[in-house]
Amino acid sequence: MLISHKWLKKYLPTLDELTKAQIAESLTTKLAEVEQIIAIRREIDKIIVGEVLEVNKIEESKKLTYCKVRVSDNTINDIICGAPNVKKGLKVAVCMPGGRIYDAHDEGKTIEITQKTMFGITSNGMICSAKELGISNDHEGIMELEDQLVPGTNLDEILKDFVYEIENKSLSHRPDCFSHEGIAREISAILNIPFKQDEINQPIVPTSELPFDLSVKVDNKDCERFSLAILSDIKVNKSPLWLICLLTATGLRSVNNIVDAANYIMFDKGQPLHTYDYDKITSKKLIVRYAKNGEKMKAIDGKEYRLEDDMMVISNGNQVDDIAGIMGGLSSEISFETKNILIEAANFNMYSVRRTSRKLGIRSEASTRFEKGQNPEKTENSIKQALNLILDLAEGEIAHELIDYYPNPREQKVIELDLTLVKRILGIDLPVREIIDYLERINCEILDPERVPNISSTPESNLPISVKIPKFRGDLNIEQDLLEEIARLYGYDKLTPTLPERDLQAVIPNKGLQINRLIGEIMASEGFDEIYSYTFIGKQLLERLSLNSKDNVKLINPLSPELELLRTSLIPNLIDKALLNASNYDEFSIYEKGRVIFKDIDPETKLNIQPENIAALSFSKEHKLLFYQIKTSLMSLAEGLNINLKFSKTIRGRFENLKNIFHPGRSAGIYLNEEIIGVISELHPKIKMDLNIKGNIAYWELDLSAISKLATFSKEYSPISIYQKVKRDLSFFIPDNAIYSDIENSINSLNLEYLIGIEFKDMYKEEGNKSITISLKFQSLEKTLTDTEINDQMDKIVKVLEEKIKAKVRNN
Amino acid sequence: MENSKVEDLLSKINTLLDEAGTKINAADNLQILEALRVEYLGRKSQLIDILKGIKDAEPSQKAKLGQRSNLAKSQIENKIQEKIKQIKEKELKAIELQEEIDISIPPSGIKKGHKHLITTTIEEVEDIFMRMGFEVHYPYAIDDDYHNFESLNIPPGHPARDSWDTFWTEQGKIAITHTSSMQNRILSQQKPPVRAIVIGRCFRNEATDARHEHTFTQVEGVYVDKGITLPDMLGTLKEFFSKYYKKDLAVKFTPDFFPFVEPGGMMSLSCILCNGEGCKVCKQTGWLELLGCGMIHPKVLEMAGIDPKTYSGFAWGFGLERLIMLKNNINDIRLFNSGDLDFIKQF
Repeated sequence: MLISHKWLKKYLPTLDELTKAQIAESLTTKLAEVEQIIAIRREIDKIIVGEVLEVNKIEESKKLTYCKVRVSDNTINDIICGAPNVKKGLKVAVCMPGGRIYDAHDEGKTIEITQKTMFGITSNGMICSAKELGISNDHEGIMELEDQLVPGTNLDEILKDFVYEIENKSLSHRPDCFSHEGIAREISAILNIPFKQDEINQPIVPTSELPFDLSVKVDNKDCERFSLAILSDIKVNKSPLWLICLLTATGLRSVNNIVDAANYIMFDKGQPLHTYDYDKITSKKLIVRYAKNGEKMKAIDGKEYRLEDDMMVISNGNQVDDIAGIMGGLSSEISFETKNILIEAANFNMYSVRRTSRKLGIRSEASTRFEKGQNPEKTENSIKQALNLILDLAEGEIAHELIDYYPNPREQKVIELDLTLVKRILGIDLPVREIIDYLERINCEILDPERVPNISSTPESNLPISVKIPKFRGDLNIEQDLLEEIARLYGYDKLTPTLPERDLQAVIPNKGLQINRLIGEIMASEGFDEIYSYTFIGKQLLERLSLNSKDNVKLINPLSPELELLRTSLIPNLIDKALLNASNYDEFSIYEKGRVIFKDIDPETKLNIQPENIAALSFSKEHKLLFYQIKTSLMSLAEGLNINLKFSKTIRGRFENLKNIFHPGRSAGIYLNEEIIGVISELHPKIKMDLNIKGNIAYWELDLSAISKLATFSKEYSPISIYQKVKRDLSFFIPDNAIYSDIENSINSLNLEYLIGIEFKDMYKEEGNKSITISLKFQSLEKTLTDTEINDQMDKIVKVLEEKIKAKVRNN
Repeated sequence: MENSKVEDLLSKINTLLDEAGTKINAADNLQILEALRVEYLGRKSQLIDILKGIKDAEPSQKAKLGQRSNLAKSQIENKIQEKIKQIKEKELKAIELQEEIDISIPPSGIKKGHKHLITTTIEEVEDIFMRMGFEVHYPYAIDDDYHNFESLNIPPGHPARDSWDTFWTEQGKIAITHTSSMQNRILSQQKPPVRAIVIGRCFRNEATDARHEHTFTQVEGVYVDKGITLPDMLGTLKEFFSKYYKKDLAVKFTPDFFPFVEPGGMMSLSCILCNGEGCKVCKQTGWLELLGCGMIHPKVLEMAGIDPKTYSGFAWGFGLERLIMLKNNINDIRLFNSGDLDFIKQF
């Protein structure tokens, strides 16, 4: 938001006693950040008002003329001018020799004007275009000034300004500050300098008569107030220079004196106004209503908008003339032919305006203000101010008394303030006098002064005082709002940081944190680098991996198609990142930890099921067996987390959705207490072919949320035997369909007393049979085992293997 | 026994001694020495034969010959031991020479992996706050409107929502825009004093460039108890940042608007690079605007079942990546989610 220093002076007569930097600094520390102070038209110099007295042709030139221009009471200068619109009687801006103007052909640069002789004529100065004055981009001709200006007047005061650029995001609760009046009030409160109210306006007394009707057919909540004035016989014209300069300095374009006057009031008071060409509203009535679905309006931006039934519009009975609080219609726009006008100052509901503005994609200066919630009290004064200004700029007559719909005038709020909160919440000791001074500076009124405690001491009683809130401060509703006002006016910079007093209770790290730390250590020691990838994923990546996206939750407003879905697995992104690194590293291992999101809703939280997963991936440029390598990291993790993982070729549940990327011969479901909690696999050979991957990729993924319920960190000591451990190897053939875990399961089913461990030694295929060697360890806590005891247990093992998996022991 | 025979035997011992000495000297490995030991000192050696042959000698002769032969035995033994030592030393020398390597050659395949810089920073932040008495919580990734907005005093349609460009799912849920999404749950679930931080991944629907990311990590914190004040908030955050950056930093509070705090504002830190002198990073201001914070709005406390007349508290939220970028001199926020091992392996 741009705030003009010159404009502020209308309210703050002593403002120039302060430096611009002081003003900016105090706004920044006590209201909102002033991002920069912009110098407006400061580089140009020696621009005065001139009056063209004669325009003479120059024979030798097609374009140029030489003019006699009055540049003061008693000076007439010859000035050569090439503009097509130069004519006798025109008031123009002249840059005198030695002065500077903007270079029309080199943005931002200035040029010096010197005395020049051409065709035997000495040109003393230059008549300027709007572009050369830094007012607009118009360089078609010279700028035509209003007739009221007196030749010889120096235009410095009108042209030049400083503008404060204020960060308005932090003012979204301060609708009053979207105006020069509001910012001026703040500066007055902050710096404690006098504030000059606008003069109270006289009543609106018609001097002519134009008939008109208004009906409001919307909920009073949506339109609290609708005020309308009518002017007849006005003269639409260009705006005077002072108005053009103020508007262009604060970011607006000058249109004509009527539109400019309305915009001036909006920037001055924060009240958006809308003007209609009275004669184009042939029905002579306006209806405030909700739009019909599919109804259309062509707006002043030239675009046609399709409306919906929750949008407020202003209609003439036949068609929509205005989208309430957002943008007017083209059909009743003010033109240079307009004779009679309607001026509307309304109060529309912030939520309604915001919703409509978002749906239609229109953001205007009006909608920006209405969205914050304006004060309905100010429509009348704003209209009066507008009338005065327009009568001044465009003449005309007041043609109707004020039409005012305001069924429920707002009451003035009173907040009961407990003064001890200043100490309790802000932590500062302030005498009552100072607190009250701050409240009065922001135009609050203290009611029942007899209830105010001793003003020279700090507040002791928590009996509240009554604070009457000015109507323009809709944001002040509770005690804490007043505390903020007191604190910022006192100065946040004067607060001394303190540390709260607290008990000595020790914090217990949560289990998730403990698991995270442990995993980080284990994965790093296993040689895995941790990566982060987006929670979002694209359909395209899934399709490249032959995965469908029907189970992924979709965003309705994604940044791009690649970020449209929520991941249900960490593996697709891991593969993507692996391929990214494959050109730089021959071998690497990576992992990621993060939430995956499913469509199913958890009945308890009413949120999507969104477990925290961990997935790991190993890549090798060589086409080698990676399954066992990556299984090692998984087993280290299981040991660290104290859980017992089981593997099965059956992959069920959520992980089944990934089956197209699992290697059919090298993949397994990971089970914990019969529940599937993960998968481990090499990448399907088809995907490798599709993506032209040289080398191999293996990965696993685990549901950490499921694991964390079972993981334990406390370990118990088991006694260590002092007797000898005996190791026996056993080799046998097993049928092709049997797998190693069948052997362990069979042996474990025996619950042998002395067997303390089974270890896999090797496996190879021989004549269609799988030959396998295992190593068995026996030990007792009580004695040294005899050969007989061990043989007895070995016999049982052989027998169970023969029975359960048709193993044949080899004689070797 | 004749004396001449005694003399003979004595000279024979001397001859044996000389002979053994020569052979031991010539021996160049341990096997030969072992053989020589058997030959000269073993049960079938000539020295033993000599001693066997003096059974019928007179005691004085016996003593003389015995003494002489024992002396010879120990002399031979010493020579053998001496020689063994020499040979072993020589062998060791050879091994030492043979096994000498170029110690400057780097090993292949360093196995240690790397935690992500965000993870290690999260741990660091958690540790500082835990030492200060704050519990650690993690947020959901997808949450509902109530927890992300409404319970924080941001009603539907409120213009303040513009500050959080929100991703919505087709199921009407929100990819959390801040970890304050947990604030209502935390405040509802325990009685004051409540000290907690929530660290997790957040999402904002905004275009990505070197300084902006749609996905980032936020650290939100709350402290609610009797008598908690605005200066307490400044002190607590000053303490955290001073510990994180390992230097004493100044803090500054400036007005800003967040619906869930009142008073609310922006906290700045004296620039960690120039110590507040003014530099490029702090745009010559000496300050770094780092986080939004303030005293928890009474409505937020009420919605969590806490009586704002009895308790007060503060809350804050800051982005973790910005902290890291300042500390580790990283100039592109997109590196964090790039998955680029050239980046990951640096930390």
